[in-house]
Amino acid sequence: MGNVHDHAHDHGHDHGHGAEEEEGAPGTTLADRTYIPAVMRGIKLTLARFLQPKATVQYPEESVYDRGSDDRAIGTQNPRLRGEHILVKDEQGREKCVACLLCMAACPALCIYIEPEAAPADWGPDRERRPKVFELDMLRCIYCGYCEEACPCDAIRLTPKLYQPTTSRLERVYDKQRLLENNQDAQVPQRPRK
Amino acid sequence: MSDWVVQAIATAVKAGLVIGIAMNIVPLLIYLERKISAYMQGRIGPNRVNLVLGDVRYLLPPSMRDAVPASLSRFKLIPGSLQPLADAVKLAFKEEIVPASADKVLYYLGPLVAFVPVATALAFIPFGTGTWDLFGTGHVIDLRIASADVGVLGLFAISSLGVYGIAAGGWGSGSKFPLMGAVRASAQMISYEVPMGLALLAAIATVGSVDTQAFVYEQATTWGGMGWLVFKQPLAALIFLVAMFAENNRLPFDLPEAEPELVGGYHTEYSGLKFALFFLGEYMAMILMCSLFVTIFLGGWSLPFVVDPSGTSGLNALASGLVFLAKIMLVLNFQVWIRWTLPRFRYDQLMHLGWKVMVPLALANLVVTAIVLHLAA
Amino acid sequence: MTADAAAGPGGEPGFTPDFTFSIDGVTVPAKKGDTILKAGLRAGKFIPHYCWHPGLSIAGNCRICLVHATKTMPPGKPVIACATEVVEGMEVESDGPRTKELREGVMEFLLINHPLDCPVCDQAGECDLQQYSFDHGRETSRFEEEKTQRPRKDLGPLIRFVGNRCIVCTRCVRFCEEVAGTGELSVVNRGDASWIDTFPGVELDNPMSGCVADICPVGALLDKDSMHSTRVWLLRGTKSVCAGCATGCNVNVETFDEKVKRITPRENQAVNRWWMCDAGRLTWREATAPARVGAARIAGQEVPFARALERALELVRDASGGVVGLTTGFASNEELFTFQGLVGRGAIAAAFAPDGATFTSRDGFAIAADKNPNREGARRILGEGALGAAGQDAAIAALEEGKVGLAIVHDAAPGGAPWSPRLLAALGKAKARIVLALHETPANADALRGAAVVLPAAHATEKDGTFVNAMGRVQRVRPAVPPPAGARSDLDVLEELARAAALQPRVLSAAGVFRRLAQALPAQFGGLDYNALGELGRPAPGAGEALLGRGRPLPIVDGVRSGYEAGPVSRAPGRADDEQVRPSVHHESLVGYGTRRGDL
Repeated sequence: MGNVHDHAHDHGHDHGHGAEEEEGAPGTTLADRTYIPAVMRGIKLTLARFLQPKATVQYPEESVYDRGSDDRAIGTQNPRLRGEHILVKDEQGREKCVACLLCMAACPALCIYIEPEAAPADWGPDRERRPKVFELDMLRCIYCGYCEEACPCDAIRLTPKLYQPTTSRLERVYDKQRLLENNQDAQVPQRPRK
Repeated sequence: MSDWVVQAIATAVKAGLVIGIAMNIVPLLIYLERKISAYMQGRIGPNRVNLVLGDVRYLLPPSMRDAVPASLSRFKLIPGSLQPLADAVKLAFKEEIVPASADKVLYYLGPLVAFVPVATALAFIPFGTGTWDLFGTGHVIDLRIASADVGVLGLFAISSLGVYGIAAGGWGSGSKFPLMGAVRASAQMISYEVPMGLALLAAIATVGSVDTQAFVYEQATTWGGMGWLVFKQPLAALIFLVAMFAENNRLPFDLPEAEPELVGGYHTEYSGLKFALFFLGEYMAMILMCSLFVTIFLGGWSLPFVVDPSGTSGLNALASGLVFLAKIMLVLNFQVWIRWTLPRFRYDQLMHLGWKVMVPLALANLVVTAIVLHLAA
Repeated sequence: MTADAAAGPGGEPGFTPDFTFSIDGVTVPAKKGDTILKAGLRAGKFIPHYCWHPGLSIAGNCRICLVHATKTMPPGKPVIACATEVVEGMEVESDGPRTKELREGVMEFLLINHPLDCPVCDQAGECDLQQYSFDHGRETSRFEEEKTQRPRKDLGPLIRFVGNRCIVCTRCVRFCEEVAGTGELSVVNRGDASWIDTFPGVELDNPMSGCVADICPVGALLDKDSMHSTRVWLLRGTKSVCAGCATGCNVNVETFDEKVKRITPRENQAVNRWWMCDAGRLTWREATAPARVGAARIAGQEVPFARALERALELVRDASGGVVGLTTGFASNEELFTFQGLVGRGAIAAAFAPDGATFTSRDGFAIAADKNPNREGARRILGEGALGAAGQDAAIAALEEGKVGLAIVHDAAPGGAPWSPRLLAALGKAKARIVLALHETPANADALRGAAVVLPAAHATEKDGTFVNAMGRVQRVRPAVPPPAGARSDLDVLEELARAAALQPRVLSAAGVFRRLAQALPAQFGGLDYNALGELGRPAPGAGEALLGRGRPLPIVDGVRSGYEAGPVSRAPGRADDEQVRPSVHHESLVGYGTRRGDL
């Protein structure tokens, strides 16, 4: 009986074919065919779950990464996590973006919109173009990182910053200024490539 | 003042009380259902809509949020307790859509017919003692709305009309999924009313009356106050309990509105307040069935050492009412518990269980009861 | 220009092969005198090329079209397909491992000094160098030395030169010499230090200078108007007609995000060959000019378009007395025809923009002095009586009689139609006035002031319909962008008005109106089918045959320098200003004029 009991819930639905099976096999005894032991086990299980600690994290007030090891932390943040984007500046404080629109072309979610313009004259001869408008719709973005890969100038990067929910959709469309100021930790000026 | 005037006023007050309490159990039940299901799934369920509507800081413009201490923002009174209210407000403001192919009359009638009979049938439920002497004035008040002798039979006759609402809604929507849901509901109701009725017959035979108050007195006065039919008629109680789930279209018998198969079942095409009325009717039906189960099998309002079945004091009457409320809340929670434990039956399994298992069992139970009673007499 | 321009719509009609040869085993028909490249293109066999252009002479200096062919001298030596005449039975190998190796070598040489700045280069996406680099180039460069640096400067008002990107194919030099005839450009310096420049003290400011940006196979010459505005792969082309003058150049109106980004010429050998003028390139800016009437008005107050249209329909329904109509040479044939029906027996006056600059290229392309894209259409539909002063006098007479109930003014002319002050003054005598206007300027401010309803008129880039050019060719103009917010096109508005006036039961599309037009005016438009006009248009009855520029005097201007024929091989750096100045025309340009080389 004990053995049968253990498997009762696995075979509860097979009672229709029970007669064809071996005598004493799971699902063929009277107790199994009344479903009652199986139902009791189910009730016991849900009651046990009812009393267990809960995994809910009160996002956005707290994050799964906020917690210490003592608490019910879910995981530690991967440094390569792809979160919100930044536009990188060079040593002279100019945005590195040259408005080539390759990220716009690579983006599978069509969340980037750029309007190029000629760079100001005082930026010197090495810079011809810059973005006049650079808008990134964080709601549309799927954080795939293709823009980062497509960028020939290392001008756009995905940082590990998770986005904060907002009360309007418009707040989730980042303009150039916001992208330039976003997540300053990742704004380390990079040395130009050889 | 003549007794019938007092009784008439008392009946009006009782009716208001019953409907008021039953209608207020519904949001409570919705809240409990969501909380319990969440807890069983390792979540914490609704917790944002509180009496202070979640984080108080969100009432302020974004720039001022930091000025409020964060500790204050965690202040919550029964987290999520106003969620049913929020749901109701949402439903009230939703667009009422009537399908172009709908049969307008049946479509509008459906939710009404699903709700009204169920609410009416509550009139037969005794929610307290039948011997309260109204403030010592000599007027004896029976704590149920309709003190009819037909009791259980009348209740069944009226509450069974509820399925017409579902059928009307399903047919009147002019759409295939509601129709399938309605057909399933009709077949299921008919199938499970048979074992339910047979189980009830055994109970009636045991008690010897169809008067609902008589059921409670029989249970409260035998076996030292614990002569509950759940002990005297365990098989009938089990059959009734299972059939009750089926009658309420609750999991594991929610085939009329099986979401993965029928979108929403018979209420697929309903929105706004008409949907809310269906929803309300469904939860009222749950309350009705649980009340009936409590009355017939769990000793109704009686509880040894707490309620004196023949007491006439007001305190005794109040205690009986609270005991009854506590009992139906327990059964309701048991229904919720079962819902989030068992998976849905397949339709052939449902029919198999109804006709090939429960009907023969109920019949056998009735025959055995009759023989035992005959021999005992 | 795209590399396969020659395979496009300009193919030779009535081509009869003299013999056949083969390219990669495929038999190709050819005429005597054909080059391998030309015969191959005609048969759809593409051979890469930079310096060769169907509208220019053969220079043979880029070497990317090198192929192996039999029957050449010395045998086995690769030849350039653009300059090698085919002979019967020749076997050309253009796709084998040997030619692949040749092209790889040429590409490597061309890329030695070419910067890797495709991300900021406006040519990227339509760059032949980029394309062939994908197709035939090496993945990495073996060049380790310093790249040469060449200047970056403005050559003229429309053209910017980025020296490092130049591969010295001399297409631009030959264009200025052989097509524009002005010869401003030349190759300066030698070897890897050579680049393109203007002669000292000269600007690249001929009226067709924008074409050098089109024909430049790389990003060395750029159109400053569209520079840094977008990327070409985002652009959607609409095959339309330029409304800048009566020539009616076929153009691609290229748009992104419902905004015009640039206009480029589209080949049509019967109208504009491969070219268009600089003024035409800039016509799209008229649609976004500050003077644009952007919103509908009722009695001077801006209102939603639908409400203004409703008011206009009411005015037409309730109109009593005569009707007077004022229109321009910028209205399409369909608009004119519907307008004429709307005005009925009332007087119609059409105003025309005054004549402007004219220019004739050496290959027959001409900029018309007439700046109205559809004067010919107006003449054919409205008749001579409505044109010019005669029409205006008739309208003034009708208005001053005081019996005119409704005046309808359709002013689609950029800058406002030049109606006479007398006519504008007389307009006030009409009981009500409906105005469709493109621009609000001092020229037409009197017409707009006091109008019951003002509706925004559509610009040529927003229209659907047909124009008739100066040579009588009927050509489609297609909508590339929507009209201003909420507005409908002029033809829609006029058709709605005609329906409100109970002239017709329903609103017709441009195709529907043209069908009625062709039936009503068989002498002017007979035999034309709207859907058969195609991308290149069809001549209307009585149309001229040749290009507008044919039959005009050759534009040999005093002081034009010979850039190409005194070319880089004969000049040392710094000596350009010493060159002898003499007029020069390329011999191929003279074919149509019955002249031979050496006559000039």
